[in-house]
Amino acid sequence: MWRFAFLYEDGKYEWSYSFTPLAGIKIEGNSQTSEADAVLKLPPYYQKLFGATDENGKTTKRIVADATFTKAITDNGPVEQLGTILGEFYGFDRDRDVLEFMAEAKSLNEFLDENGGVRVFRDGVRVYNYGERAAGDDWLGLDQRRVNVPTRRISNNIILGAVDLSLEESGNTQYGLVEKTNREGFVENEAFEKFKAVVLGALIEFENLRQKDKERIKRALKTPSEKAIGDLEDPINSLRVELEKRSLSGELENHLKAIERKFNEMKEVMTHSGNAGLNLGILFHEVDRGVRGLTHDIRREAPTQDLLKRADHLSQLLDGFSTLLRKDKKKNLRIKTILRESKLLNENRFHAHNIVFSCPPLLSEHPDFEIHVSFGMILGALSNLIDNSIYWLQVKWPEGTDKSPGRAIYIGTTDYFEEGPAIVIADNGVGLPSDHTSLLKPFYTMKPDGMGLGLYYVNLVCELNNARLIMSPDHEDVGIPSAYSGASFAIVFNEKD
Amino acid sequence: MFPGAKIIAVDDEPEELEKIVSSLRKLGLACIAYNYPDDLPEDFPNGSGLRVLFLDINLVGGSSPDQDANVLNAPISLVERLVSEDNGPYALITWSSTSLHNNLIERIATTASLQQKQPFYSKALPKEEYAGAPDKLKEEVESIFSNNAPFGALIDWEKRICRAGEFVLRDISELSNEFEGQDASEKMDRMLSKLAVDAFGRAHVGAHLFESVNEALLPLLNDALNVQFNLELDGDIWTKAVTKHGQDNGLSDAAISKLNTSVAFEASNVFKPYRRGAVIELPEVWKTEEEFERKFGAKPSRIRADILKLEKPKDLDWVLIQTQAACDFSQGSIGPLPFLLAAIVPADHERKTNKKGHPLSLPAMVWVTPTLRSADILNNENFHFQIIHGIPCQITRKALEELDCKVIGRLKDQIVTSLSFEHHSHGSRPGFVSFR
Repeated sequence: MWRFAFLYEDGKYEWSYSFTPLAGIKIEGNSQTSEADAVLKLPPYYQKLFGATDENGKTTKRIVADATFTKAITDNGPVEQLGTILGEFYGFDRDRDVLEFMAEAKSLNEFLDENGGVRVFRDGVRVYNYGERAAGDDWLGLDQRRVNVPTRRISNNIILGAVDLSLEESGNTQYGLVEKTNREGFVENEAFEKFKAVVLGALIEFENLRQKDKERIKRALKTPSEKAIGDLEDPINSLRVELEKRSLSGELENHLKAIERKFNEMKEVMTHSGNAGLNLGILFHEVDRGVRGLTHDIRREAPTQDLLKRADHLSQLLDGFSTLLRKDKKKNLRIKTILRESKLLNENRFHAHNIVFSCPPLLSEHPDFEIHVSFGMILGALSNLIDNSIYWLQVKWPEGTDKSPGRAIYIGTTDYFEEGPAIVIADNGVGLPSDHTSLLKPFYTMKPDGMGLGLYYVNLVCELNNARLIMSPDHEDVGIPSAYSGASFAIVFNEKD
Repeated sequence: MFPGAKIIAVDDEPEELEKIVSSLRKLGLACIAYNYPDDLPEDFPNGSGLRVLFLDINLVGGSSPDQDANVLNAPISLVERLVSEDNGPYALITWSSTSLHNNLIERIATTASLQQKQPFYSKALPKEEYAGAPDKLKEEVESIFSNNAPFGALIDWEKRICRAGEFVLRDISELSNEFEGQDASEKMDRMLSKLAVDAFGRAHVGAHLFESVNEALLPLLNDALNVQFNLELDGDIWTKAVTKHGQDNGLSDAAISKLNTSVAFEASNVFKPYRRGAVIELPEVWKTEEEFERKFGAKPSRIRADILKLEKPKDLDWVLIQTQAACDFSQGSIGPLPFLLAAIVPADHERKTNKKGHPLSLPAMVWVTPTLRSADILNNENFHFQIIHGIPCQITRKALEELDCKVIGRLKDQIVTSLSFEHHSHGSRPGFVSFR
């Protein structure tokens, strides 16, 4: 159903994506190609692994795989480690509702179970793996990274992929990709880590593009993406039963107590308060699924570390959204008070990432105004927008290049909108995609390994505070200086509140 | 107005915050509680002296599990604002059952602006287990200091000092009743005024109100401290705290200099040049050979070679050190201020040698400080002062102003006291702390 092909060479990154729905699923296909200045974004683990430490001990992450990424630094100058990488992935959907539209579904499932995964070729010759799929073949760790967000991550049994390298370009015996003599893959050196980083970076791009079409399939097939809260049987009871059966570590027990408390709070608020109209169902569903997954893992006696990781993720997910579920804490606040606190919260990160932060309202150059909102929620929304900006500024202005001083974030105020005053947030990063309608949907992300909840949260906060989130407002209308040519948002507060 | 709180708690959930505060209240522990962000003051009061900080990690909503940096912004920013540079040791307790606690501690450790604000101990406590359980929380707070006995011992020491201050206040409050006045405030005013005059002399009190009262109260405080320090020890905290006295401390020369500097010298240009212990650069107009000789009786090269016995360096930085006796303010006449000539001598100096190649001994008139180290002096290389108490000079306050003397720091009190004794008697003197 999905095809994604990419080329990575000397920092240049091109890709093409196509989606062909199965006959009978009444939606249109989709194809896209990369823009001219596309960059390969590194997954978070590799951002740290290949980050740099300066003479003061300050570490900076490497956000993109630029032209220097595949070059080893040697006494004799840079040496190419990987050369050109060509990849092609075919993705499949094994959801029961989708497979009903496929004549040979059983055969496909069997085939994918045996042959799924990403193979590596050198000059067209398969070098890894050699035979059928076997345990331990998951060289990209696809199945492991799927644990926390199973719906959007691609596992080995829904992908057929091939990555091709040039033996000459990648075969430097000291710095390049070296095959193990026992034919069980590659020597785990720096080149291999870089290779995995590039392939995973491309795969995540594929996942993010595919997610959008998966949502369209769901809508077309009317797969309930949001269960009614009342329909959910209480998964906590099952979890507790499993816990009681087994003696689990104190740390895990504490996690689970926290999850239980927060889950019940969430359910209470969702079912009994005026939040019924709030689009939180899908999030609740995600938590519900997480609790069930955890119960299942405990039942199958998964290693404690895996359980802890899963519980940790779930607990943090609930923590992040707990502010939305509190009793109404709105009060009258000056916008300057909110912006001042927001600046204080983010100052360290502005400094760490060399970002120039400009906020005219704090210098009394823009009007201050009073709004009736929840301080914590608006702070959370602003922090999310700033967090997004920080990431995309690093993509546009990578570390270690003389471009980095260009990073800048702007927060101003405007009275342009008739419904009320507004905060305007802008940066000089890569900007929003032209079609940004999906960005507000939960679990939709363009960041590698992001959760896709940031803008969704911002939008929810706006709804709860009688405000409106506008993406890419007209810069001239809202007074954004021309230097801030990247992403921009406006939060408009309704004065009639 | 009052000293800062010893315990501060910050949480975004008022109900949870109240549970912590009431638990601490039941233990008799005062705590400042902030409901974040609503109760946050525009400017925090001075957080100096904070010993335990309870922080909820998830203070701002909306962060996903992939956004550690975002979720940690608030706790990082609060540590920055609540803990002052001069705070001293504190423990950081977070309410967390997730891996965020470890990530927070890692980020605090790597944040440049928090280098002076590192907690000596940190721990994550799950709210579910502790927030409503005062006895359990009490055990946990106590264990912070019993498990980190050296810090627990220092807290015990700090407590004794605070109590000594309380006793002085108690005593002078009682004594003030002997003075006339319409109310307690007026009586105390008369008593403090009397103490000030007796300490500094009526002519000087107006210009030195705090110093003069302080001069009178210090002996009382000293006595109260003696009482406190001789009280029986509570438990065995000191036995657990000081256990390595039989071992080699393994300190580097640089570390020893740093330690010596902390007890002997403070580099700073904010002191007044007329204050006791002030170290001032030689006035510019005195630096010529002729003027130097006129003031100190010999050319710089001669003092270097004949008195300080230095072969290298040939050129020294000369300073003057104010060595007035502490009680001189209370004398009738203002008089010129006494200074001693001294040289800043780098650690890599070379002493002159005798015919056998042995370094020459310094004459008794030269007094040498422990090895010191300061970023502002000799490019952060080790150095010491060689102070020649055989070459005093006197400068009036007016002349100090006219000469535009630049202060580079101050010798701390115990050093100045020791130096004064040396200067006046060339004989026995009280000891001072010197790390070796």
